[in-house]
Amino acid sequence: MTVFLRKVANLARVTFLEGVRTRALMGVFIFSGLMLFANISFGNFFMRDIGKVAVDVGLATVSFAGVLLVVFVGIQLLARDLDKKTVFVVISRPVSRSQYILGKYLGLLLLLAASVAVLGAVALGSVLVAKLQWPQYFPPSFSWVSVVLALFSIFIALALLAAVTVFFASFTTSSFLTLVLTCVVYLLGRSLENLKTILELEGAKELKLSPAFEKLVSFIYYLFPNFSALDLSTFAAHGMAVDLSYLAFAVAYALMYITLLLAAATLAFERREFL
Amino acid sequence: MGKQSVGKGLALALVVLGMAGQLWLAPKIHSIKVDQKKERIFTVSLPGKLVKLVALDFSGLISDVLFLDLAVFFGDPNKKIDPRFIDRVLELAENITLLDPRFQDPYYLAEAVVWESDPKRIDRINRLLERATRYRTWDGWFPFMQGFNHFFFRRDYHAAARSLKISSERPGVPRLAAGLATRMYQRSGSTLSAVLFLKEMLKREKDPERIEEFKLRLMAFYRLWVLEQAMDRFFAKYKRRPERLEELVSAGIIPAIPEDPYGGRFYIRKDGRVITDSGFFKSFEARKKKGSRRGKDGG
Repeated sequence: MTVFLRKVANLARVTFLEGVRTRALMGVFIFSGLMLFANISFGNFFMRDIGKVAVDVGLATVSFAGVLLVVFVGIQLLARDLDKKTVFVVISRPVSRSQYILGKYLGLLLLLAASVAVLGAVALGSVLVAKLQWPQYFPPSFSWVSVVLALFSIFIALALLAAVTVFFASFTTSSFLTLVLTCVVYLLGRSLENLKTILELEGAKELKLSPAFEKLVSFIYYLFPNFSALDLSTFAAHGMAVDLSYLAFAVAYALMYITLLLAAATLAFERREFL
Repeated sequence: MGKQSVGKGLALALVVLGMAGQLWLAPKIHSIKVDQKKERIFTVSLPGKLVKLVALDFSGLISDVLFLDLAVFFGDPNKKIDPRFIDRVLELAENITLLDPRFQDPYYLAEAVVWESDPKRIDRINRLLERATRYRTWDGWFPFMQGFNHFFFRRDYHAAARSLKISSERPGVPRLAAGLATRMYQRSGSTLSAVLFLKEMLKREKDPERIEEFKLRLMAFYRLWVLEQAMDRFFAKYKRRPERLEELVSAGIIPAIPEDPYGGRFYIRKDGRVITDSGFFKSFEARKKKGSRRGKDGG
């Protein structure tokens, strides 16, 4: 067992280091740094809800940067390994397929954790600067705990997205396909909650949607991962307390989904033949 | 060797040319863009629900961006509000607050625009404020404004009392709210309530333009209140109601009939109540003549 874990840990470490060295990481960090720097001055353009705007921009930047990381760096680390056949170097060694999948995933996770920690700290800093400049325009109940919990939930959502990438990379034959499929899942997973809510509104009856369409939406809703469940930005932005039991449910949901995806990826990868 | 240096020189020339072109064109493009903004306020005005759907989970951020667009339009403090745009402003405020119903700024801006334009839109703005009241559960200020609108523009004292009651139950609201609510329930409209109401609004206001606006209203209501008091004293003295305000002056109760700061004239209505023919409201044209300015900050 320890040998198994050590091999996974080694793979994770190598993947992490490989990720740190990519140019794309640099680009994402430069973009986020500029965005968060600009956040300091955004308060000038608003009337009262400066705190909300600062938190919105800070969290959205971290979240967006994370998605870019998964989509560009993550796929590069994984799918390209298969694309360019560099995977042969690894699987010709005494490393099992499941170790490879787990190691790659953990390495990516480590990279995401480090990135969210760095960007999150900068985001918190930009909110702090805004708060020092305009303390009276922050909600009276403003809570750093809610903001930190929102950052944490962003990380969990990214972990889920990374698992989606690993899942697709395990059976598709090109990294481009993995990229497209990951994006589709992300876009659907981010808007399904809103779509379902809107369809359930009273006014939706006027649209006269066919029952088949509503069934389809329900089906997709249950099939695809719900990223919106892990969105706490509204709570953080308006200084509302985060319901911890809800957060626990959402995190448990994400962990279940990640486990499912990784297990499926291992199964698919075991069956895969490299020529 | 010679060919290479020619190529290098050409490339360098193109770089310089490109930079010059950029410097020449950038301000031109900006001025065209600014002109476009004057005519068509907003880049997007899609139905709020649709925007919410495509906003992924960044609807908070997108509400900020859309509001920024609106703020850019109002950014010039010397600009007068064009009445053609009021409904568009309201529409956008409605859409932005659908994206993030707890976002304060669009509510304030919409309220300010309606206040300075046309009391006919009060029902619409109150529906918008209803959303603020529902979602900003910790904020007593929006139900307070709602109550004020009911009281001031619609003379719906019952609705005003209901809003004020909600306001008074929330933390950090004007201490007066509860008292005013009972007052509203008790009797139909008192000038003194309006004076107290306005004083409370003034205390919270930071924008100099709105402060001016409130002071104007406060002055009008205060003078009305003075006249009402004078009427009561006249009645106590002569056991009859005066028919014209001039009688108050000739009876020595007041030195002169105060002017309506809105440019109207105070008079005694047939039912014996003092009112003004300005309706405490300046028409858009009247304000334009005076050259009144409006700022970006409405709330």
